[in-house]
Amino acid sequence: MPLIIFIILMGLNFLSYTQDFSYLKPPSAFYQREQNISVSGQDIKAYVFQTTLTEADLIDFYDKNLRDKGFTKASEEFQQAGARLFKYTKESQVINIQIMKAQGGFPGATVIVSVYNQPSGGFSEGCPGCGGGFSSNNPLTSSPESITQNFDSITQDLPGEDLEFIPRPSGSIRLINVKNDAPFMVNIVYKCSQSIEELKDFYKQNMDYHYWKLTAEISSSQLGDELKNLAGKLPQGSPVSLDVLTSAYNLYFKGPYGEATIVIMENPQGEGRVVSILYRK
Amino acid sequence: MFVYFSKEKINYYKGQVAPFLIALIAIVVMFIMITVNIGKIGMFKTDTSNAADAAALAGATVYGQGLMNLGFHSDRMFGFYLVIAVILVSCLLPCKVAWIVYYASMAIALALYLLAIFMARKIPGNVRETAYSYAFQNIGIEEVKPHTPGESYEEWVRKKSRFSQWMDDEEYKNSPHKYSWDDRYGQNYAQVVLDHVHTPFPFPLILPVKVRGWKAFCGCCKKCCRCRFRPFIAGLVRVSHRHGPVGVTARKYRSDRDFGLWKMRYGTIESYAQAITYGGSVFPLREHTYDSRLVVTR
Repeated sequence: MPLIIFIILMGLNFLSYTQDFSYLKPPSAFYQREQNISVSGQDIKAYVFQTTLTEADLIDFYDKNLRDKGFTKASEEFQQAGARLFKYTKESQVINIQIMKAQGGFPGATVIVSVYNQPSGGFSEGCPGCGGGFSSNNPLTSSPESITQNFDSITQDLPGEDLEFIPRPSGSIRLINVKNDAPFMVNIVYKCSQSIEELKDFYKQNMDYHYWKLTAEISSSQLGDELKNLAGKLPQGSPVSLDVLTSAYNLYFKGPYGEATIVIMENPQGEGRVVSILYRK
Repeated sequence: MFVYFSKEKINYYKGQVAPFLIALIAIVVMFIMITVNIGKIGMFKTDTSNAADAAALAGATVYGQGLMNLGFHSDRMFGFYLVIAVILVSCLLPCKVAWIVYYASMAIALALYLLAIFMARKIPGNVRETAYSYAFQNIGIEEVKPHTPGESYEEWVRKKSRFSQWMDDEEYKNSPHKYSWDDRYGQNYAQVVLDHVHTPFPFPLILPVKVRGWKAFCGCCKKCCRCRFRPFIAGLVRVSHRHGPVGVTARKYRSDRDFGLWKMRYGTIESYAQAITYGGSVFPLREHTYDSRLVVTR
């Protein structure tokens, strides 16, 4: 009996993985990329399309197709920069559609479609806080002053796993683990109490034991004028703290496993430091 | 002979053409010498042209390869952006984690952008090294390998010439990028001068990410108040000086040569070539392959 249940479960699992999402591909899409992303154990399937269709045509296409499949539009958001975001839901299944104008003087649009199941507990229908329609004008959602979250309340590792060949500082707390299959990359973020200097020394010494070779170390403060130019491109009232970003110290490693970029920075909204690791095969 | 012809000119009517023939032969020999010497100067010019053309093309190719690497780096940056954009919009993370992920990812994106600037700054150095190497390999340095007493033929064959050793030691990288050698006529040298090689500067592609997070007991984005587009460095949009160019002057000096009739003066002969890169783009997911071609030769 347990074997039969196991086989049925495996079959259901297989079916869920072989679901046909071809209806998400817009007509005349000339580039397609499929990605399987795992964020702290939760799977997201993502598709990227480049198409010559106009934004209006794309909106019509998705609205018609997804309604036919039984999805309902939960929210629609728009930003002046030209990005649009639509959220469709059907039971626990969520489809996010991000439409951006093609860059670099090319016509059409880039579409990022992500499909996942929202786990129960942290989800209710729609996204009322974001508001339907043009949420960037919603004072509840757009005020930078309202961002007062305290990260110090996280005291233990959040779901996910470490990379055995990249050490983690003692006493650190894992905040996130993101995996992407193609191209294979892993992003892990740790919250640490050590100083930036201590963390720098820790990685320089300990990465060596795992046959990593330090290829470059650059402080983000070296960006100087470039970062000021970048700041000019940020939207008004953006809460992105350039001081936090320029405080970052970057270590680049190469080794038998691939490439690793380690960024050590001040915690943007709390005590301690944050270590962000990007590993690529 | 001329005296004999002069005395016997009435009685001797044979061989009157001989003086003219002798003069003609002398003129022909002279023309042959001139032709050979002009040919040698032509070959000399060909050497410098080859060196300049090869160096400019090789330099531009390396410049293009550097830009191509930036293009692939841009792809990786875009791949990272896609992953982060999908996660941040998913509402799968608690608000506080979603925001720290945004900052930590933006810091990684900045680090990758810094790496792109770092990679771009290395391009001119690689271009110079390659261009100098190709120029000296093609400039035609004909240096006699000396034979030391007691040395067998095999040893002599295996022995490297001073120029080969100079190339192996990568001395050509050092200023004034000049190699001098002596032969029985005097001193010769070859020199390569590169125009300033521009350092390409990559400009960031900034795309929005939507940061969403859920708060316990409140539901997705309810009271989360962080649902807003934020900027993200998603790749490279373009680079400055995408065509290069790479300009090379190859100069060769040969001391005077004695061919028996007169001293043949070679002096200094130089050639100039300029090549550009074209065709590719550093924009994510576009064609990153750059080609190179000569645009100026003289």
